[in-house]
Amino acid sequence: MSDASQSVEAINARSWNGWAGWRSSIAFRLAWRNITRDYIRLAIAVVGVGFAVLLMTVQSGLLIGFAITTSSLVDHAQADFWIVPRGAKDVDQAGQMLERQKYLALGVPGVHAVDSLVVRFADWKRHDGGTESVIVVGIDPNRPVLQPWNFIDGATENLGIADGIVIDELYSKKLGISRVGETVEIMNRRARVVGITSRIRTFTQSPYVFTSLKNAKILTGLPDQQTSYLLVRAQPGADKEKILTALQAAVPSADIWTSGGFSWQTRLYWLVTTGSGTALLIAAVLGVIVGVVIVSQTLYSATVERIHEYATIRAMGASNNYLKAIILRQSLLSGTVGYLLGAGVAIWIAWLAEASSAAPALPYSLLALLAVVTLAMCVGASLVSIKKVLHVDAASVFK
Amino acid sequence: MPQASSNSRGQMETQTQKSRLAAELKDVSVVYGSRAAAVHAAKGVSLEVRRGELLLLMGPSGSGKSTVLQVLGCIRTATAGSVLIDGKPITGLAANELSRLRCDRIGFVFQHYNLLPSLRAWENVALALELRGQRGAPIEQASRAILARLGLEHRADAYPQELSGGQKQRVAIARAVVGQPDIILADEPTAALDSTSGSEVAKLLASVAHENDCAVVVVTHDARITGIADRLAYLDDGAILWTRKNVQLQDKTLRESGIDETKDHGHSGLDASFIRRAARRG
Repeated sequence: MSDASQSVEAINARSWNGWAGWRSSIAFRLAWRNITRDYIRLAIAVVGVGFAVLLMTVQSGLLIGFAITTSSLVDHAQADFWIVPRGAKDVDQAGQMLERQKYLALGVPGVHAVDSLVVRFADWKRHDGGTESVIVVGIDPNRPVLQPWNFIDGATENLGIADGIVIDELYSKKLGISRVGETVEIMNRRARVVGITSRIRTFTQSPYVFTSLKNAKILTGLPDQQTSYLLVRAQPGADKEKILTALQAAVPSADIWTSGGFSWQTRLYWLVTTGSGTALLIAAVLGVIVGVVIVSQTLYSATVERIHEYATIRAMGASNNYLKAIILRQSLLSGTVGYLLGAGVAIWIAWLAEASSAAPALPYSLLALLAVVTLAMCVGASLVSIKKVLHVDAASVFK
Repeated sequence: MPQASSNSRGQMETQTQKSRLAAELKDVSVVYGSRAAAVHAAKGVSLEVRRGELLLLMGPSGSGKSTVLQVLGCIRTATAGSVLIDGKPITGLAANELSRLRCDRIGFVFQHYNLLPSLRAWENVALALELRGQRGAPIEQASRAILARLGLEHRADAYPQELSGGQKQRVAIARAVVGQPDIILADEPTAALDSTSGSEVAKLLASVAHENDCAVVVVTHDARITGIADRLAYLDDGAILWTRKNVQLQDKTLRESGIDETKDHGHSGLDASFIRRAARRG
């Protein structure tokens, strides 16, 4: 056996390394084949992880989607500050305040412009006689503040028409509208559809109906001297901290929010105060628990079944880390395949839901985060199996 | 002067013998359980395991052979006495240090081969090298090379379940020797094999001992392979009753004892009384 001995000598640096298992190919092959040779067990593990990932992804995506939806008006407004009626908790349920306070705000150094915004619930009468609740959003179409976005028919300028309104296609069926030009009835007053947008969702399921400031006040019965919000734009380069402080002093009867602050406050209100966000989070956590249980159980049964093999490897002198590496690799491989399956299905569901009023939002950052959570879940699920393997009696191979 | 010269030569021989020691058990006892339930699996066993020598451990079932093998293999800790590997005591070593010692210095051959079914033949061999921290293409080359030397070049890519019993055991031997250990411990390596394969495996183990200059210790019940042993230690009731060099328990002795070496006797091929008779004659 001299040839073989020589080749062994050539490579044998006697560098026994406890971490060898992490970068070794044999351990990888062993882990991969251990999980792939039993197709049924692999299917259970992958489907289990996949289901957990699907649950986590869809629920988290819905949470993000709802969060984006709740604050979409704030986020699309080109404002630096929001002057809101005292105690306002979210953008959809505004009170009212005197519009002339805009002049107080305009007097603050660094303020470039102040625009009124009306947001009020109203009743929409369908052609078939039914009634739907809508949120009328009154804007000045000539000002670069909160104009409707994603037009698929019409344009913001159409809101210059006295009774013109813009609705979103997601709710056209709900509102009984099929095209631009149709006339409808809001609070017993006539309105005409002059534009249709795409994917401007509302969390409350009361569709946004954009119209001019003047028409919004008419439709909702808001007195002329009143408004829902005042949107403040700062001069370029102005110190916004100073403006915020000055606005609070100048308009003491209202609350002043930065745009980001009001957006966050709106999200918190709907997702936390109403409990809907908590419900989504609980479902996502349930997904993690389901994943941990399924992976843990599958991995453990596979480990127990192969415990004699681990005893052999232990007898041969495997370090704890080498044994851990085999188990962890099995777990992470199952997790990776399961993640790809679950995330793939979740992306498909999100794509299908694009045309609905409640679509999960799946930004890359969420998918990356859930990949990390999934792998962490798999590591956690492998702990019981690792404990089992580390306590295996090497002497059992002689029985 | 002749007296002094003789003493000097004796001392040199003793030193040479000592330097040939791969492992040594000194008055080793192993007790399983405690108090009333205590089982004395080994009682004051002293044994020298030398390089270049194939040592058979024989004895009836429950005589303590496997326990002695496990103690030599640093898998079982002695309750009393001392165990020296390459002259160094292993008493007090932590579990991970014993693992490292096994990995570096000891190869194992098991009765049921214990090849990992998920790995190909060459990968099973390569595992031994990878455990020592080696990786990459060289360990595949080394594994395939040693399988080729054992006549398994064409089966290197086969999974264990695609191999015959004899082939599996040759793969297991390749796995044991590929890391050039100082000691190879084999537990009933021929018990699950037919006579031809068993004989081949026995000869292979002997050649490993002699050509690789390593110590090979074989626990066996198989009378057919006594002829290949350089030394035989007979155990009964946890103690070594006797040891013999160049034991030849073949042909005439076997026939006289009513055991045909051409038959596969498995575990029951040899009993204590037969061994005692055969050793007296040998």
